[in-house]
This record gives sequence, C-alpha cells and structure tokens, in this order.
Amino acid sequence: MSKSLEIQNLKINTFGINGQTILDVPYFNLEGERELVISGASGSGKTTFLYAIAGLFLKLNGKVSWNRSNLYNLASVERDKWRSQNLGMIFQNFQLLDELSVLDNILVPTGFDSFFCPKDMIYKAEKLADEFSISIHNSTIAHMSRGEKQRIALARALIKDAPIILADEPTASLDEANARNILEHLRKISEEGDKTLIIVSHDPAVMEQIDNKLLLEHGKIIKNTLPTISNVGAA
Amino acid sequence: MRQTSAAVTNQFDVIIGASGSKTDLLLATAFLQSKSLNLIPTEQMIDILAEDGLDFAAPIAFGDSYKSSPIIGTIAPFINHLSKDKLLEGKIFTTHEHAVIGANVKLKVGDVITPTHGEAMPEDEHHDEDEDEEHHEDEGAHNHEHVGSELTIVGRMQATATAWDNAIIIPIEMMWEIHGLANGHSEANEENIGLPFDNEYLTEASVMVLKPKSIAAAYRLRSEYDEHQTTAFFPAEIMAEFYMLMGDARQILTLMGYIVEALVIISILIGISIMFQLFSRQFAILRALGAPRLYIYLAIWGYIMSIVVVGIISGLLLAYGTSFLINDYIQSRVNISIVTSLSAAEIWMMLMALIIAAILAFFAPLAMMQQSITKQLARG
Repeated sequence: MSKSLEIQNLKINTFGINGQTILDVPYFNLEGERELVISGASGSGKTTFLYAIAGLFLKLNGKVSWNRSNLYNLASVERDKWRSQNLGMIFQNFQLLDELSVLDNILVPTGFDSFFCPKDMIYKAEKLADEFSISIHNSTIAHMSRGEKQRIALARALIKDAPIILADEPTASLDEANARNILEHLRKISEEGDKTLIIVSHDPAVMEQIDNKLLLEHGKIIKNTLPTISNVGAA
Repeated sequence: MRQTSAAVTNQFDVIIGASGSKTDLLLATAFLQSKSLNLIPTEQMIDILAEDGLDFAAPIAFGDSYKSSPIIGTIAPFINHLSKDKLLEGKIFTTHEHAVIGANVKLKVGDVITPTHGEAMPEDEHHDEDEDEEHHEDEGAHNHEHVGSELTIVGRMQATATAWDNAIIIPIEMMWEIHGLANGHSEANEENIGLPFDNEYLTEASVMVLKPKSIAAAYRLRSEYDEHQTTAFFPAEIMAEFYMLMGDARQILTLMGYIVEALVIISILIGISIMFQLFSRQFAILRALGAPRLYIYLAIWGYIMSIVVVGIISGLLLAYGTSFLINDYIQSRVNISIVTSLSAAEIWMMLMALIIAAILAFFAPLAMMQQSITKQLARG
C-alpha cells in the first residue's frame, strides 16, 4: 500500500548568520497518489526536497510525516531503521561504494539486518543485475560507465522491495532506450507493488509519463498538479 | 645484553693480569677480544700458583689462531670448569699436541691443524685455503703458520655461551713451546702437562683466572694482587660500571621510546583524521541507506582497531626480526648472544598505544555520526 506524505512548515536554510533559504514548503500532501515527479531548474531545491523527505537531515524546522508519523520526531536510531525498512534510494551521483564489487554494491542494504547475506537476496541481486544488463563479473565500479553505475544504483534501490522509492535523476545518465526501460521498470514495480515512487527529473519523457508534477523554483513549490485540495502554498 | 654479559663473566671468578686496564683484561679473558696486554711477571705467577684456597689458578696465553678461531693456551682444570666437568665429545688434552675445541668450532675430533701466529679473523673476512696460500706471503711475518706444530683435536667442550665456544684450547705448554719459550717444566719433565709447573721454567702469561674455594679467599686474593705489578678484580666490578653506563643509555632509549610512542599516537590521530576525510562519504552512503548506528560504529571502530593491532604486531615482529639480525651480527663478531625478550616497559608501551587507540576508536565513530549526511553525500 502506498504511503502518505505530509510536509508542514518545512524550511531549510544554508548555514551561517546570513543563511539563505534553500527550501521553503509551507504545506505539501501526497495522499493516495502513487507517483510524483519533481522538476525545476538547477539549484531549485529538488535534491534537498528529496533528502528532507528521506529523513537525511540530522534535524530541521518543520514536519515531514510519512503515514502521519513525523520523521524528525523519531530518534536517530529509529529514523535509520525507518529508512532501512521503507526507502529505496537512487542518488544523483549514484553514491556507489567503489571498494565493493558490483554484486556487493547491490546487496549493501541487505547487509544491515544480518551478518551473512541471505541466499535469496544474492539470487535476487543477480536477477536484478540481469534485468538491467549489469555485468557482475570482471568489473570494478570505478571503471564503469555512468549508465552502468546508474543501473547498479537502481538495482540497489530495489533489492529490499521497499515501499517508497526516491529517485534523483534516475534516467539522466542513460541513453533513450535504457532510460525508457528503466522508467518503465520503476513504474511497473511501483504499480505491481503498490509503492510510492517519487522521481526528481529534468527528463521530458519522465515528465510526460507521470501525471503528478511538482515544480520547484528557488526552494518554493511554484506548480503542483496534485489533485489534493489542501496543497496550500503552491502557486 | 645485561643478562648475557652477566652469564659470561660469572664463569670467571677472579681475573689477574699485569698492571693495566681491567676492562682490557676482562675483554681479553671473557670475550677473547685480543688486546696488547702486558704479561704478568713470573714472580707474581709463582706466588699466585702457590696460593692456598684455590680450586685452580689457570694461566692463559693468547696470540695464535686457526682460521676464525683464536687459539688459547691454558690448563685442563679451567677447560673442565668452563665445560662443567663434562666434554661434549672426546677427551681433555693429555699431550702437548692435543687440542680441545669450543662447541661451535667447525672442526671435528681427530682433525689436525697447524696454528697461525696472530689474531683470528672474523668468519666473513676469512679466506679459504687456496686464498690463504695466495696471501700467505703478503701476510708475511705478522700471520704465519707455526710449521711443525701440528695439533690434533681430541675433544669438544660443551657450549658455554661465551666467546670460548669459538676457541681452540691447547695446553699452555704448547703455546709457550711454539713461540720458543720455556714450557713451564724442566727438561726432565718436559712432556708433563699442567700443574705443577717448575718455577724456574715458568714463562709469563697474559692473564690468570682464579677459582677460589671460598668468598673470603676470593676477596683476599683480589685485594692481595691488585697492587703495583698486577691487577686483580672480580669481573662483576667492571660489569657494574658497564651496567651503570648501560643504564644511562637505557634511560635515553626509554625517553626516545616515549617520544616514539607520542609520535605513534599523533600518527594514529592523523590516520583517523585522514580516514575521516577518505571514508566519510562511504559512511554517509551507508547511513543514507539506513545502516544502523551500531553497524557504522562497529565498522569504524573495527577499522581503527584492526589498523592499530596490525601495526603493533608488525612493529613487534619487525623489532624482533631486527634484534635477531643485530644479535647474529654481534655474535659473529664477539660471540656474545644477546637475549631478546619483551620487558614490562615494552608491554606497557604497547598496551598504552592500544588503550589510546581504543579510546580514540571509541569516540571517532560518535564524531563521524555527528556529521551531516547530506554534506558528505554532496562530496560524491
């Protein structure tokens, strides 16, 4: 079942006395909608928005609630646990661990729960690698193309079958065919698993396929196509 | 060093030489480090040999060698004393042409050798037989063979852990004879060996080692012969001065050890700081993916501790390896085997490094977890 997201009075500033506001969301609500694409110019606060709803800030002003539970009211340990159980994240720069093999990178999120990686997870990782045409042999992460890294990051986000998928520019490094394939895959997984899929993207193909759009500019929501009436603050 | 040198010198109760440096006498007697020693006048030798309260008074003569082994002339009771009254193989010398070898001498019982006049050369500087022949003339008068003075090896001493293990010991009579001196016995008794000597035929010796029967006798003899013409001393006197000197050096080394330890701790701090720089993004990724705090904590703590433990073990092995190499070198030069062992101070220093590292490793993950995940991710 997709999760509900509610943001209230979220304000994130840069550090310092004259800190600039990089994200200012008085109210935002995602209730029942499975997919959302966030777009905006560079520096508009898209990634910050994504990090905020992923609970990656140590603390912040405002409320970010998933299923009515404010993430930032949780103790750090609880918030880590929530992320581990609920989030599949694809980062803009992939954030892979160069020291690990391809397979181990995909399996990273599964290693937090048990000392030994379950066999079914290894099998699932190999299956995902196969689906995304990732070669798990004879390759080191550092020598891979951006497209390959992107696909590994995607496989890592899907390995635990998390109910929320947050993807920062998931198609940015891919050719058209691969981008289409990845997007279709994400949407299919989201639909079949009734997951919440939030994508940050510039890609017109992504914008075209996903109905619910959020447009950010200078840290503020300037366009919100979500039907929910209570999305106050959107232009 | 202290343990080994004490074990060596304990085997020589009282040493008497002609007046001169006690240190030189000790080095010559206990460590067979040849020095130009004055000879004890025969009058004094006669007096010493006539002393009561002695198990033996052994005159010792140096000056010859065979390959890398010094040849020493003395009497049988002293060999028995060094070899703890039991030879490793063979028998003690019974004629002038017999020789007993130290435990490490590379000769066999039954071998026949011709002594060379002059000092023994260390093994690595020693030439083989052919080369010896080529160099024979060059060495000339300094190192020449005593042709016609063949010696047969008849016994091997037990290991003494002293330089004597590399020595060839012959009757002192033979040593005197091959240098054209009176051999200590009258013509009628010229084949005699050992005590008693005929005073009229006695030749001067470099050193005399005494084995007194009692402590009182030892002190009396030491006092009596430490006078104008002779020097008498307990090896422990010289060693005590040496240990005092060594104690000062040890203090300096200990101070250097503390400085090194401080540098090690600074290195650990720098290492941890570099590790923070290098791996902060990786740990931020793990945190972003939901890694539990305990997971991150143990990963960082384990990483730091494994580096420190591997460093300590490597350092220990390296130090041991180096000490063995140094020991080998010293042993090849002066035949002193240094006992290498971990003292309480070293163990304490290692523990200190480990404890400080453990404390740093305890706080390092906590500091890492205070860092902003989003900032670290932005570095990627």
